[in-house]
Amino acid sequence: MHGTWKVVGASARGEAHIKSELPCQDHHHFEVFNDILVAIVCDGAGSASHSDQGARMGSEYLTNALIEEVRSQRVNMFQEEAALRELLEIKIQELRAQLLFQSKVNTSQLDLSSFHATIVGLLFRPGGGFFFHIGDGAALALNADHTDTVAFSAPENGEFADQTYFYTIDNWKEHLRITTISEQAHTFLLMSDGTMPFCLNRSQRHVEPRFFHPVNQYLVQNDVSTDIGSQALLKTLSSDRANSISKDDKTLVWASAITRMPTTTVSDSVLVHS
Amino acid sequence: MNVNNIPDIPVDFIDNSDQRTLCVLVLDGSGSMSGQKINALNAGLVSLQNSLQKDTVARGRVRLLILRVGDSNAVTVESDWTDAINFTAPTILANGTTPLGKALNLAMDKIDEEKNNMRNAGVAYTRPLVWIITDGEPTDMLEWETAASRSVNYMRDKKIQIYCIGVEVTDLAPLKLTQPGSYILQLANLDFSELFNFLSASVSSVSKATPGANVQVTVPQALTIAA
Repeated sequence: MHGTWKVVGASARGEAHIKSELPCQDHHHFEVFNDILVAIVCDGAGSASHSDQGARMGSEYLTNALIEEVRSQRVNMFQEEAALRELLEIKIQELRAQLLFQSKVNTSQLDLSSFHATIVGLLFRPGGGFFFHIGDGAALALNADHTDTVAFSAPENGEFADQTYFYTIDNWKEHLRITTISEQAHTFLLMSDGTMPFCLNRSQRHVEPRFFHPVNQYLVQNDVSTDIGSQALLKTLSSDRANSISKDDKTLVWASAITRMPTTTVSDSVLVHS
Repeated sequence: MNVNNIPDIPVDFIDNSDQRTLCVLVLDGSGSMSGQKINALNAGLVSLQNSLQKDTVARGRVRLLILRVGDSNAVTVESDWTDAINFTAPTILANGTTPLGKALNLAMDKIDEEKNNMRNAGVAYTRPLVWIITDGEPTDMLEWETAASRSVNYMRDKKIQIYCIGVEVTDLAPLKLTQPGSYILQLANLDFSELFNFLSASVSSVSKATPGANVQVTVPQALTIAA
């Protein structure tokens, strides 16, 4: 467990990628520092040759960058959306440059379109926070008794369901959306679009209770470690039934506030991939 | 950890996605299709129904409209917009003319209307598909040229995707008006079974397409590319 947050995540390779022998192109990363939570889910585009790298670097680089700001106590990004946007624009630009630099070092000479990936991100501490989002996938914040969705970040598609936006496109800044989360938020879900059909209800803006409640009730248990929880969540997302609904890669990150524990610095992410 | 030791979380999986892939079939029911051709086409429609309904994802996402050309310059709606799960293959009769221009215009009008309905209902959709299957040239050439020009603009604006399948068509020039710089597929040996298998696989793959993915379906040998 981490500070005042319990966080569990899993990224499952979808049947479509298993059959075509492609890697999982979803990645997630999260980190907790004191009572501050950062979590990011990235979904690589199927047609982009190195989108798994784009997704992995996106989630890890940005999580580390935000945590570094937190550690350095540069907390303006919690005060207002504009400050967070300014920081994200700097860090995403650095990430894009890093991808190109690594490509050059590896003499692969790829352009950014080879790394196309979306971003679904969360930055929160007791008192409030933000979702930040480019492309599809979704993020929700629920109140303590899960009766209300207090914040929601929707997917952004083009006219067609199979179009979206990536942090690697030229006009990515225009598609960076930030959603304010109030202090009432207690439980968070971040997901890639492969998870949405069964994790969200028919409105696709609230949880599907028949999926969410069993997952939540299982993961909140004190005797379910983050490691066991991640393995169980991965098993769920990898199941035949999940793949009968969506053959895409599927990621779900679940985070729940827990009783405040003695202050400790923990940075750990139990990453479970298939 | 041994996979058998990993606990099962007792979830219910319900597919709450409402995404649709609109697919229009424009079918030649003119006199020249009578006999073996129309029988094979009708059998192909039944196999299309069966294969889509076996696909647990596609049957809820593919939405079909069947138009027939024939009789005296007539276009009939043989099966209006229906989700594949509820689709019953109509029986297409063969007699009369081939007003493909009128049919193509109607297909585009019906697609525009249904996209509007889906937008109003908050239902997401992929790019609609139009499949034209004919054994001859259009008999309403003036309207065909107008419709083909309109369809080229629609495709340029990525509003639809059109596929033309010729069934032993001798003059492909009219059909090629819809595909400048591209090609028409010709069906060999009246192998409608292979054609409808290909159609089913194609539309099923599009219905499951994820953002940024390339949809690739193997073209069967029964279909040859006529450049």
